[in-house]
Amino acid sequence: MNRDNEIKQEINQAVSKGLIPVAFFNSVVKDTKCSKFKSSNLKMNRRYRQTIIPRGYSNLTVSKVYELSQLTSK
Amino acid sequence: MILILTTQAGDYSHIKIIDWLSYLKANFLIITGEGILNGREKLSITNGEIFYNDINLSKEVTCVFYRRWITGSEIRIIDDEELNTNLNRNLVAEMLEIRTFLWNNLKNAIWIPEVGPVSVNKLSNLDLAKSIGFNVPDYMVTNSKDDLNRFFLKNEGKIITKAIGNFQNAQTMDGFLVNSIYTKQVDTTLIKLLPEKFALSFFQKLIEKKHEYRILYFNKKCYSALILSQEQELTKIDSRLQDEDAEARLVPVDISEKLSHTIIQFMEKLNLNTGCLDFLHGLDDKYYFLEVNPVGQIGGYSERCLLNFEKDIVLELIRIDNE
Repeated sequence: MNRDNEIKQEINQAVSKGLIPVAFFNSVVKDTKCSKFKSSNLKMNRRYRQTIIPRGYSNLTVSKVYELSQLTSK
Repeated sequence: MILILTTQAGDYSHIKIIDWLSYLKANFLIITGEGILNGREKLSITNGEIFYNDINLSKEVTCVFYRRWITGSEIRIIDDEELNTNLNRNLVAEMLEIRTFLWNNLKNAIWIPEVGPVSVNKLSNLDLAKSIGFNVPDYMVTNSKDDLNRFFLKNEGKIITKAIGNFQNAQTMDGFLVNSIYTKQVDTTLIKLLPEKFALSFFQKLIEKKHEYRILYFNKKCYSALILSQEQELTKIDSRLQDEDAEARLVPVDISEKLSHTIIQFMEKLNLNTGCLDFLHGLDDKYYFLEVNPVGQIGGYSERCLLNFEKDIVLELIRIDNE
């Protein structure tokens, strides 16, 4: 069984044991390391993609990214 | 000065707001929870005044656009995942205290959305919506299989389940993302799987629909996107679902004056000057209220439907700041 299916089954089991709410049943599981995930998680203008916003541990700030996006848009 | 409060990750709707502020040469400042948490930006609070990089926010700020504040799941402190998660919880709690202080301290500023109702309660809102005249699909919150079976039969086997509030994404240690936000139809097979008593869950009557609406609301005006959710199988139950081949099409639409008027009434009752509302247009030609989110995603809907929502917000922020 693929790892994503394995995780999905574990979550479904937790639902069937009454441990987590029913809305968790058949959750969508995606491999974030997969390049397909990275390219398709947001279908917006490239400039507004979340990937250009720094993560919490980045040295950038939103203000800096905004400056960057200004530069790249020119 | 216009203040934008947002997070480094987990939100992208503020970027276009910042674009417009910059293009219109507004006097603005952006603060993120993460930026001040780790000291990249200087913040001091002393004698009831807030200084950010030596700017006295308590005196300078005239209006605040609030999106989100901090994304705890993105903060990496140490490799031990469990300890990292527990430390994150504390850091987020600390930062939420600061956010509350900003709310309390910058009381003279105009807040969009207003201070307080950001954390709306979905169940209370369903009841409020019904009381002011919206159609609201019947719902039940229960942890009992007997109750669920009765609700299922009452609604002729057509019910859905979703979070009572909002589920956050969860990530496994080996990099898999678990997304549980989507609405699911509940059938007999799923009910049979459940034990007699299960985790408290939300169930609602499934409304057979023509399509959905995402209505962006700001200052008594509705900017509406029609979601053509029924054009394909994937998006029929939850229009947010998408894969490489399919996603729901969006088109701008004008809603009726009656619906718009009731939305204004509803938002005023909630003391919200902005928010995102979700509606269904049923096969019975009735409009059904689903929920409102004061800081819901606006960017994608506004851009794909050319609603220019962000520009109108920015023009109002500038107007307030120039007063």
